[in-house]
Amino acid sequence: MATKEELTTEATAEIEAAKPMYKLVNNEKLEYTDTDYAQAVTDLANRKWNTQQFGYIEARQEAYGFIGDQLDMQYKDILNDTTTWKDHVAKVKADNPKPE
Amino acid sequence: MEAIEQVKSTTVTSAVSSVIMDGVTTDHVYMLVGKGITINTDTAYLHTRFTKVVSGASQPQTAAQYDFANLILKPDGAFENFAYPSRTEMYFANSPIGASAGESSSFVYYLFNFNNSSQYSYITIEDNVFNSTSSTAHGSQGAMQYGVAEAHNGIVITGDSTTITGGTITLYKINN
Repeated sequence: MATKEELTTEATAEIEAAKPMYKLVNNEKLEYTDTDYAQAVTDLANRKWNTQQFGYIEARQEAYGFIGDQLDMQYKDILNDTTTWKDHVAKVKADNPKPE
Repeated sequence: MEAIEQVKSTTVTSAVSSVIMDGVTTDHVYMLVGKGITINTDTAYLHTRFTKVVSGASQPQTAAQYDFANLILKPDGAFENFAYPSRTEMYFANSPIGASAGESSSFVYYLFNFNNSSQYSYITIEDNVFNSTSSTAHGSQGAMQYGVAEAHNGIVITGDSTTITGGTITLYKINN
């Protein structure tokens, strides 16, 4: 698990490698200012951090599937004395682990 | 006077990391339309921020004051609701975007209260992106506000680990 400082170092190297970067303002292509570059590093580091720390939440949300389908699983589990829904949830969690 | 008046339009003809579309100078509702936005890195992101005039130039506002919520409609799985408070930007459709031929993003934002320095600026969002993970087009509808009472003059679209390689963005003022 990378620290924020390590991710910022990574981001700094990536932005350095990407230079020169440009912005389009009123149809004029201008190179980034020092402030723009600093913000680009901050943005990239933040995204790396958010993906590392919180990416599992969105991945789980997507993998759980439709609420209606999950309710159907639960209903059939009750009728048939099975554990389909519980197994599904356990698999989603295992496949998308929360960072330690 | 036209009911919908074009304020300015810009077309990306060579790669840039961000596009600033300013020009909000009155209390009207404005509409920002982007079409055919393409990027050069597969599975990268585009994000949106508001701009305001600082020392005579339009500067992106980067404080963790963006609150947004949207509903993602997609053909390949469950719809998703997102509600994020206190972010520093909003990602297009909360989605990684494809960079292959024919994969592009389009959007329509309505801009409210931008010229009002005593209220939060607010946009409604309709966008459509090509999600590179699922290889399908995702639609998104939602809204975003910037929780600082100050005037803003436009929007900046920024590539996150990618450049923007094409597309046209046009700002309209709605006269009524």
